Amino acid sequence: MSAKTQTLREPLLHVDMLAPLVVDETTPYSAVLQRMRELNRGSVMVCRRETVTGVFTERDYLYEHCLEGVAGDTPIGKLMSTPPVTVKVKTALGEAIELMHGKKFRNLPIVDDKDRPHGLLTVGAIIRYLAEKFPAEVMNQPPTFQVTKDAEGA
Amino acid sequence: MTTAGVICPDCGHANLPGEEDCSACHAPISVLSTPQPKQGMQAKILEGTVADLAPRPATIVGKDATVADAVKLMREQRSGCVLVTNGRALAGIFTERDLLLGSGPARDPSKTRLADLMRKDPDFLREDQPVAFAFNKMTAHGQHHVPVQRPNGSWALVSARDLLRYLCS
Repeated sequence: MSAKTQTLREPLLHVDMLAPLVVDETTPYSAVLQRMRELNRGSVMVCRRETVTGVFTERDYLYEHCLEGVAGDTPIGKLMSTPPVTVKVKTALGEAIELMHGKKFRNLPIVDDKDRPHGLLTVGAIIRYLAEKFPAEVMNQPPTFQVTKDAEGA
Repeated sequence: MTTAGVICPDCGHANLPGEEDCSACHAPISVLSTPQPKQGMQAKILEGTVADLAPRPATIVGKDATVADAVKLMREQRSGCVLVTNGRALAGIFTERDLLLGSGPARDPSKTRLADLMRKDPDFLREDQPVAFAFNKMTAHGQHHVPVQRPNGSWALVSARDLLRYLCS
């Protein structure tokens, strides 16, 4: 089995992903934005009684809300994307990637067997995971890729 | 008698086998002298170029644009990122994350200059550079979008999603 096939068959459990930023459906929009800014996060998982009911992302903010003067006290449950597409922690990485490609998602909420938030799979996390498999090829690069046409001292 | 040289992928200079750095541009080339098995994803990383990631034409705005101007363009183009140029030169990059982090109730998007929120003078790649360079930018430097300069001087973008699609295809 090639390294690629083996990597893509591994369960999501092996991917070092961010702990989810979780908010309740009733959390005000302004408070959600503030938490996303404080933690430098591009998305939140929205829950009702510990079950994931939606997601709200920086893309939602860009495309639908940032110019519209949305009232800060609007519950995030009214602005989130729903129903959320989620996958379980036992799902294979390749299957999750296929889903993300097919739906054009950059974030995929990962839930446990009871649909409680477990983690957030991002394209960035997958790229970092793959980079760990090929450290010499990816990490051994010059800090900047500036090209100088003449040898030093010439 | 001539000796087969190691061609620097960055500047095209022919170096002597075994050189650690290119004698012309100082890019590290030792990995090119070391025979390595190349297959699957490893081959794609080592042998592919940025052009293989299918860079998309970038959405471009001038340096005097406002945040609201950029947002409208990003919505029209369904893009999460714009490049800010000064003439033909790349002056900055503005992404949806910059919008989220930099905007707020105290800032009116129609009065805030993009130049105040963009990341100035971003690194960029050329289409003929190795995929490994883009991979490095996105992992070690955490850049989700990387500007690409085309041979004709125009600007394009590659994203982490483009890289993932390329690696897993």
